[in-house]
Parts: sequence; structure tokens; C-alpha cells
Amino acid sequence: MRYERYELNAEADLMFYEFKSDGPKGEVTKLIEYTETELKGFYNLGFGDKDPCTGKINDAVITNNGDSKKVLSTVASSVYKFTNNYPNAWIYAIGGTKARTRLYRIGIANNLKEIIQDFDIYGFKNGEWREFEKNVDYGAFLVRRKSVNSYHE
Amino acid sequence: MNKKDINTIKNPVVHIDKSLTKYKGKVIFKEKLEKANKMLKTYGVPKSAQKPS
Repeated sequence: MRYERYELNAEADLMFYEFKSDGPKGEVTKLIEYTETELKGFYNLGFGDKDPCTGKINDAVITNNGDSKKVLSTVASSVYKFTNNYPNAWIYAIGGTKARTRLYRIGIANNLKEIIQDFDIYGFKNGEWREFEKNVDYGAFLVRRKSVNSYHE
Repeated sequence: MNKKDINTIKNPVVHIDKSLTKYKGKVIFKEKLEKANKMLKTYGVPKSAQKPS
């Protein structure tokens, strides 16, 4: 994945990340959260916009700042960073809306050749987890790092 | 590590921001976490989740 990325700021345990999207709508602060689920070793990836007035995080808002690929690339870099430090973690991801889930699917599909070098990727469809394939509409995703020692571009 | 290996997508430079400590111990996306828990409890995980990669 060779798109530009935003710089990431993170909390010391690397569970929370912030970055600023910059575009026609101005500067928008975005937050990424990795939270362990009730299933040990499985982490939910949360992602949304921070409201500058209330400080609340919204994962269903459509920012429309003209930088969706750059934003996705930034989120992807956080997945690498997180799994560099938590190499046995599984990451569960679903969009705040169906449209956003579809955006994730397209992002994965467009970069699948690179991604599968480093991750096992599964999509959820019809009640079961399957190895990710292009052109299949999935409802959720699970990824796991294959090996932390093989990150060479 | 070579200079070219720094700040790639696979090895991004991440700045530790002490102001983000305010989030530590909190769950921001509670609804999504609840849905994730429900999904994993109901449908389980891929079979390969039981064996190392």
C-alpha cells in the first residue's frame, strides 16, 4: 500500500491513536481504538471523527474531506504498528455503517497482494468466517499478523 | 535498520502523546465492542485461530 499517510500520535500502550485529516473541510481529528474483546487476544478496531465542540467520537459520520485513501492508509499503518507490538493479536473490524464496511473491503481488495504477505485475512459472510476473496461482500473482517519479522517493503 | 525502513506503512513512525493517556482504560466505541463480542460469541472464530500462523 503506497498511498500517503498522516502522522500518527499514540498513547503509550499503542491502544489509542490520533491523527488529523486535512482537506477541503478543514482539519478533522480522527481517533483509532484497539480494545480487547471478551475473547482474549481478539481486539476490536474502532475508528471515528472527534467532534471539536463536544469531544465525542462519531464512527458513522461522513467526513468528505477528499482523503479517504490517505485515511485508510493511515489506519492500516496503525494495524501494522499495533501488531508489531502485539504480534499474536487478532483484529476484528467492521465499519460504523455498511458503506464504511464496504470501503474497508475495497481498501483490502485493492491492496490484497501486499496485505496477504503480512496478514491472514478473513471475511464474515453467511454465518461463517472465510479467507478473504475479492468481489465478495463481507459483513466484518478478522486479521492476524503472519510474522513480525517479515516487514520489508 | 536502514533509513529506508523507517516510516514505511509497515514500520510507521508513531509519536507517543501523553495527552492521549486520558483514553487509557476507557472504551470509546462501546456499541461496536458489544457487537464484536456478540459476533464472536455467536459465530466463533476461524479454525486457524486455534493454531499458530
